[in-house]
Amino acid sequence: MLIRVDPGSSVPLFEQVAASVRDAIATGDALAGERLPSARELAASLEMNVHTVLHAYQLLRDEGLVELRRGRGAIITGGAGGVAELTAHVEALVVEARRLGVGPATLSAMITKVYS
Amino acid sequence: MTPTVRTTLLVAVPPLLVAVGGIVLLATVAPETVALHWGANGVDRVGGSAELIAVLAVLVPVFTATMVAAALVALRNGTTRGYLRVLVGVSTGFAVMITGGLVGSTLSQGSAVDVASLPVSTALVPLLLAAAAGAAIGLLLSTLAPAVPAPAASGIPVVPLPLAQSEVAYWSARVLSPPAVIALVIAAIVVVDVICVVAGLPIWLPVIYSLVLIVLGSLLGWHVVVDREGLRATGLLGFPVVRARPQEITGVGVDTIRALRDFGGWGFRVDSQGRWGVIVRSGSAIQVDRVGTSPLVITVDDAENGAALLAALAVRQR
Repeated sequence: MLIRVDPGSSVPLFEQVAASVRDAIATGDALAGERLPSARELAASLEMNVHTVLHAYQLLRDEGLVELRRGRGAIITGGAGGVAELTAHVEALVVEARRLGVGPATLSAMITKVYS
Repeated sequence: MTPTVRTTLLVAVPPLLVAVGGIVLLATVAPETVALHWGANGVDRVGGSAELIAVLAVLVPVFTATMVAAALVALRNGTTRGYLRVLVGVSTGFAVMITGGLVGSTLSQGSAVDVASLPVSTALVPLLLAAAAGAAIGLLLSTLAPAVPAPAASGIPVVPLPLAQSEVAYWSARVLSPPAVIALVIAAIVVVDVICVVAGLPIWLPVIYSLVLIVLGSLLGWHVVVDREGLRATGLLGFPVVRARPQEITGVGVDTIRALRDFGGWGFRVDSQGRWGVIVRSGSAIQVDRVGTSPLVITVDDAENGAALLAALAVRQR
């Protein structure tokens, strides 16, 4: 699993960590049942605070993508498989939107409206 | 003298000379009836020394021929001096160990009338001395192995992961041997332990055996990390740790490994090109070329991403 963060970016570090994990799930690089790196190891590697990594993991837990288990760390949930499956549909939708000349902002607004 | 001729002579001639010397000694000096086989309680079987001569005449030439064949194949496919040193050393070391063991244990029987009642130490001491002599002579001869041009890296070079100047990244993967290999190790522990208990052997014997196999078995699973400190592969028990730091990396590639065919099995291995391998299974692997030492190969899932990040970190370090 590849996790990359840019401390020079305006996006908070915990958001960047969470986004990397989401990407790994969406592309199928991280599968259900897989264990995320320990918060301490990841924090040391990326030179950030352990609490920042834990914040990212808690965010992913709230989204239903990981389970946090005492002593076992963060495990990707079975529900994460849906994200990987949905990626293909989203790619097809974007291709169709481009063909019809619909921009990303409009497409995003349409999805948000339908979702709510 | 070409490296091929020199290697062939070094791998073939010393062990054959040692075996011929042993055969001549056994044929001229050994008593007619000697102890041939030893068990825990002493001599198991006695017989003529011709049987020992036959063992020497077959075992050493066959082993030597295998070593020569391995050397010729390696030289044809591209290899390193380190690999040739191993072949030269093992070939002669094996011949000295076998010949010295057989001749030593025979001559140490002296002119004993009742060879069947000789103690185990009559054979054990010469065998241990022959093993030590084999290791020392093999090591010495191995220094004569010829230098050969470094083989071309066989991994496919990867494109470094595009990283912004301020960006940091981490990649990790866990890799386990196939279930069949793990089951084999577990079965080896359970079966032998049960036999030990049923046979009423001292309890420390199965305990030590199990501990050794658990430690060796832990090498069937690794946690591989690539970060700003380079590549770090850690065994299941937290040791050993294999590292490649960015400043010592000259190239990074990926390769598809066939564990048995390329490295002859699983675990810590060296292939004929002199690459050091942490071989857990067949399939994708990261290859790291390093300054002044052999390339390192680690079989791991998602090798493409790990190798791309490692390549980027190595480039950043230059």
